[in-house]
Amino acid sequence: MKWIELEDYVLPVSGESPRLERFSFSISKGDVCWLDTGVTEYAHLFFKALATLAYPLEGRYHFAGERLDFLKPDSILPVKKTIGYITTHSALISNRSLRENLTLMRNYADNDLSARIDDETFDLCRHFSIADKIDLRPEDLEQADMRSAIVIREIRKATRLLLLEKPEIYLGHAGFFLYDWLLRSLMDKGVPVVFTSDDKNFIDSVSNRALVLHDGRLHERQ
Amino acid sequence: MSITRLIGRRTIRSFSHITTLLTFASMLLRMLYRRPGEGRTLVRRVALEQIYYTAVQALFVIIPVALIIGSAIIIQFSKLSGQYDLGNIAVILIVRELGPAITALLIILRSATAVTIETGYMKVLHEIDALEMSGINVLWFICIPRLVGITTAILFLFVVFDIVAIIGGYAVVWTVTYLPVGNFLRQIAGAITVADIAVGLFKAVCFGITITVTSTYHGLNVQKQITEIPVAASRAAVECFFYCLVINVLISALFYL
Repeated sequence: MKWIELEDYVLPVSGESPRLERFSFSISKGDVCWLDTGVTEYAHLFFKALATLAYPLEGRYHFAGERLDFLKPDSILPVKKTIGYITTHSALISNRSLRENLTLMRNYADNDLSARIDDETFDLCRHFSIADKIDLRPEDLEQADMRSAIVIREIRKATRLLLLEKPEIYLGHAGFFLYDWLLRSLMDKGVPVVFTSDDKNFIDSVSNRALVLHDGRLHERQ
Repeated sequence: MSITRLIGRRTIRSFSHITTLLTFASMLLRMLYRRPGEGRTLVRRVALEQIYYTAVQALFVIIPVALIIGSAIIIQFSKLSGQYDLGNIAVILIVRELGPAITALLIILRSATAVTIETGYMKVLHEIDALEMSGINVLWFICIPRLVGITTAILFLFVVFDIVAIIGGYAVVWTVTYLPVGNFLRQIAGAITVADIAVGLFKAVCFGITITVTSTYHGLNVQKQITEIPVAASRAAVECFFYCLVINVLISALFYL
């Protein structure tokens, strides 16, 4: 079954650049797609389309068989929170501490102001060496710590699709081993993944599909 | 391009901008009415924080401003009117017109610009995207607390401004004129009506909505560049002030003409 399907997609809405030519794309459970693109902006736009952050001018988006209605943005929010989005465009909320950032989604969904972080998330914070910085705000953290927190936040979602930008350099060499292990454990569960990477070993070891995105044109490499 | 075409194009653009703002305002008011179940506790907390920043912290600015303006009005009009009808003049000028307008101006200078800059930064730094990817409704989480906070703050500060300006006037009357203070207070008590207070409060609510809608709209409309933020803040402040003045005149005309 196609888990996610974008049909006859055209974006962005306004005359901005970069621009993706009309394309169709689908991904099923267990698919791990490597996106080969020379220009980062195209990858960002494609990721935004998959993450439903960029609304199309034309086309249809089906998520787990349901067609998304971009005229009702509220109806897309439950889909958004199941998409792990780990790119250089991912961010933490700057006027909240790391703890608040990690509990924000739960606080919002459950109407609960508790600042308690669950054990599994706290274990991840310990592994990524940010447990002692949990009450600091993003401005007081190193970039690697912020990115570690983003990885934890996104992986701890009930992830049904994972979008990754160059995982081999996202956390630096020091954090890659743990990050790689986390990603592989999600892939083993069948979570579909789309990623960009320049690391041939990583690409060869995880991907089972390859997409090429050049000059705004997307096609699958056979 | 001919001058007619230029004027026509500008008029269409302004009309389109105002209809966009009205649509945005109606979206926010509908959301406030609907009050989605998710995030209510968080939204309430952010609204309380906004009231603290906009109302409580602004007290240290609005009290001296109200004292200065109240005193100046009483000094000028005690000379002009020969101290007759001083209470009436104080009520007409302070409660009906200057109170809401000066309060709105202070809120625009202190909070509207801050809201535009904050939301603009959130947009440029992809924090708005991060909220959406966490399943958080941005209008509910970002705009509604500011709408509630700023509107409540204007209502509260409007009352404070009126009381302090009139008490400032009272102090001036007591120190620099021969008018018996009891007479001045009697004039004020006689001049002020329930309608004056109700219209003042109505103006404050309209200003609160206008300021929040305009400032959050400009903040959320920032696209990619950090250099867009000061432009958005400046436009938001000027527009807020202009719209508040227009609304002030319209409401005054509606109720007092």
